[in-house]
Amino acid sequence: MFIIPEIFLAICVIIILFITPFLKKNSYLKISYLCLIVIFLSQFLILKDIFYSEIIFNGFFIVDSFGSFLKSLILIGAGLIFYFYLTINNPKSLKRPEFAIILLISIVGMLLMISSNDLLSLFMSMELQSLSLYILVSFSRDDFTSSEAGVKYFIIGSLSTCIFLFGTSLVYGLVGSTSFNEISIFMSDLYSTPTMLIVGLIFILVSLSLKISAAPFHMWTPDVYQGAPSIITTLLSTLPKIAAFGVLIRLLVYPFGEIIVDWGKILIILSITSMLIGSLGALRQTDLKRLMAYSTINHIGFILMGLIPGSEDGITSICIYLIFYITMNLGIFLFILNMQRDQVSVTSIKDLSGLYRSQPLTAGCVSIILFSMAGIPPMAGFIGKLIILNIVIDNNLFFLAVIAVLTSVIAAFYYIRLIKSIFFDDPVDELDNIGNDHSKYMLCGFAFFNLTVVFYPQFFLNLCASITLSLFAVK
Amino acid sequence: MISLPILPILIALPLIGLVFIFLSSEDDENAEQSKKSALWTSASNFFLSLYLPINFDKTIPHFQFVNTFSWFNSDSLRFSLGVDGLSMPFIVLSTFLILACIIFIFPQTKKNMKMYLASFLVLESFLIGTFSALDLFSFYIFFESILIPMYLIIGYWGGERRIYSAYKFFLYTLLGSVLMLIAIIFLYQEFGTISIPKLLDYTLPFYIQIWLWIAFFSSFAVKIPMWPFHTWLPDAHVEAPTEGSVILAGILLKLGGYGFIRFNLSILPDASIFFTPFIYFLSVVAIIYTSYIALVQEDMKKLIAYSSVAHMGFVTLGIFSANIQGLHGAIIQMISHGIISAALFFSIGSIYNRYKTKKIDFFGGLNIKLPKFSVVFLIFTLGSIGLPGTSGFVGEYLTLLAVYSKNTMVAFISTLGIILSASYMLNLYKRVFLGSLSENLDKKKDDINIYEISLYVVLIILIFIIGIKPGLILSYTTSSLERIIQLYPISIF
Repeated sequence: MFIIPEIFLAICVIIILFITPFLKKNSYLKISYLCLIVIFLSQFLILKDIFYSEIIFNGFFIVDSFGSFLKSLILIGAGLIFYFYLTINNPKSLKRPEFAIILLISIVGMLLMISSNDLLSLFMSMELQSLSLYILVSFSRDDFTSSEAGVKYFIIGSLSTCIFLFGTSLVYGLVGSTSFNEISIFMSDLYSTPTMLIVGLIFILVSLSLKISAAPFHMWTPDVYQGAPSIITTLLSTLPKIAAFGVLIRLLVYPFGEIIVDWGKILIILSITSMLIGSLGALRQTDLKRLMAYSTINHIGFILMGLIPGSEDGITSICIYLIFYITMNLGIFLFILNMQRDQVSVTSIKDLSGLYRSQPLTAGCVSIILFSMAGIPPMAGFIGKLIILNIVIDNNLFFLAVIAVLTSVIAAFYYIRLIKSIFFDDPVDELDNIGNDHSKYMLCGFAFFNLTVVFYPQFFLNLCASITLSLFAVK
Repeated sequence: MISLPILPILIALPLIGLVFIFLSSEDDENAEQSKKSALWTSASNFFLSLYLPINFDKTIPHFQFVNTFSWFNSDSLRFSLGVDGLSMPFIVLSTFLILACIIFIFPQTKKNMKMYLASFLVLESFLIGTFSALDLFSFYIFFESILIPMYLIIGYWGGERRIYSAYKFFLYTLLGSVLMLIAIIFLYQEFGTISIPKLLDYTLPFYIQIWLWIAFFSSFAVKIPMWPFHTWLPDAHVEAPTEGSVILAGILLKLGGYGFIRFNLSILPDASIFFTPFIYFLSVVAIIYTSYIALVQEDMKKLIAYSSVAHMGFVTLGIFSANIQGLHGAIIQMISHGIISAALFFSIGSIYNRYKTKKIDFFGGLNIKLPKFSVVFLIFTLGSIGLPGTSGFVGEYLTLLAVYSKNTMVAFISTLGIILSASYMLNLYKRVFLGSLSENLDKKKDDINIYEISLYVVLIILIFIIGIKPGLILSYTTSSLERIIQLYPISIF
């Protein structure tokens, strides 16, 4: 059995690329529909063999249910983003067939990242993902901020690649192999860990922190989120994070699982700084996309706490939180994508004021999702936080739990500030009504999901517990 | 006896009423149809909640009407509901006050009336959930969820500084509660269960109890509120609409006292003994200090808000005296304050609806203009002072009796609070209703209407019934409270 979904996707991308010149006007719509169909088919291919597990290509890639689960999560997210792209009123610069194709390539990269079982294959797939994302971020060519964001993202991304390669070379120098299996065997035979191996791991961790934008490696996030076209910000804040977390979990739990004492401390620092910067940095933001960047950093800090014990329960909780996180983020960004005044996109927080007067249903849905992000019960965000905190306290990390809840109170401040604008402020200049029914129904769907998860948390617990089993079966 | 799943029905019914409210398509200001559905829902919920006291077995100290549902996948994490003598009176109080609020809203017009009614129904559902939750997680979920409708009520329908007050209310309460979340998760990790009845059987080491006690205290002290965590309350009261203030003073503050008895006293007795002097100190300061602040207030609602803090001081004194008189006193004091402060806030609402101001200086000689209303307000004032015969007296008397047996000095100082409460309440009455007619009150205004009269008459009857025969409530609570006292170690305080 091969990694059929990725191969299928990659071949389809090439075919679609060749089809494009033969299509005439409005080809971008047809191409996007084609991409949506391809995503749907590969989702089917993944779900067909979700419990299958095998190491393939001589240890280069691994197929297991943990990976398949994250991949299907990514494909669901990708499908939704394509759907957003098709239904919303896009700016002219994005109405090009290349957009969908490059997006699909980056998704191939993400899927490969999750399957990689070797530092080199990881490097290649990460580059495939990143390079296509650099292009996508700077896709609005006539927009100055978009280009600036693209350059920033490219420079920081290249730096991250350098650091990753340096770390890899250190690990290779000591172990003599880049394969996860070989590293794992090397580690289990050791009596004491060589310092250089830990240094190498730290370099790799720093590079991955840049990818998931964990503080203090978050600097690029607000600028890139603000500058990139909104649909790409939607993508950036959800799918690459899932992929990078997939890599992080696999890397830390499987080959480096023996030195949990060392990387556990690093993760504690990363999560504390992320939660602090994510909550404090957002307080004085005026741009909604910039604020969502800090909100992402805060959530990432919360998710990282689940990884600190490196246990099965911890990873289950991360998977659950990731599910809730992408539903919340996709919901908010679906609204941001539809925020327009006189057919021009606006993203300032001021523009939210008085939304409740003009569009009560939309305002209600957005508020439910914002309450969920703030972690106010009974929304989904609270269930996610509860499960992660449960893991943290189970491992007697009380100071971490206290910091986590206090920062989440600070974070709640800026979320309810948005709700204040929506409900209590007088409208300055009303936004356009959300024109298309698709977006409205989708927004209601996201809000409904966030509201009702409290009735069936056991479904997500069972699902995630069953898929994380495979991760530990390899050991 | 057929076992009716009464608690789930009580929680679900307001949410069903919600559907009817949203189905009707009406104008914003005066949604007749929605008002009727809200009235029917809250009335039927109130009468259904009377099923609890009627079928309640007073001899059993344990939880009754228990319903358990599977929730998370393990056996230890179950969603369960039930009541004992401690929580049952509060559920009836909640359904009663929500009904009273809806009746009070009935003749009014407000911007976006449908949402306003909906918020109250949601609030009712969450309140019943909080009082009947038998596991820690669902308790926390209901306890915190109350913030959402209350935030909207204060922030959307409130006065001038509503946004500031809504923020303050939300963040203060949230900051207090998140530490409780950590304590709750810790209890779950330690014992592998979140069921409150089971937790009563365990004892924890003293040094752990101390930390957990502080975590629970931080949440309930903000909620009840104790001095010095009370600063959100005057702001929230002044800016909230009348019905919001009623619910805030009438029920939300009682969540703090309920939490103190249910968690701090029952689950963490050793730490409670350790912290008793601390609580006595804060309560005495609250009683004396906030009474003095109440004396100089210029805003009627703010005055009642500060008096609430003082009254809640008696509640905490009674609770941490940890004998049967003290707990009885605390419960009667909470229920009596729930009725009297609700009545006072309704009255101020009646004044505000007529004159559009709550400033004390604006008024004078109001008894000439509104003679019926001034009689009603006098009765509520006397009830709030704690005149013998009214419910306020029973609570304060029992509490002081309990504290006297433990610490004479504390009892002596807190008795001064009763004198102070007489001075600020009578002063309020004098300045608003007596004296020569203020020139601001020239215009003719109608005396209280039929909705208000019926509401006030019911409240007055309740005040006197509880004042003359408190045993009606105490007979329900005795066995449950005695169980708590039995488990409580003997202390020197």
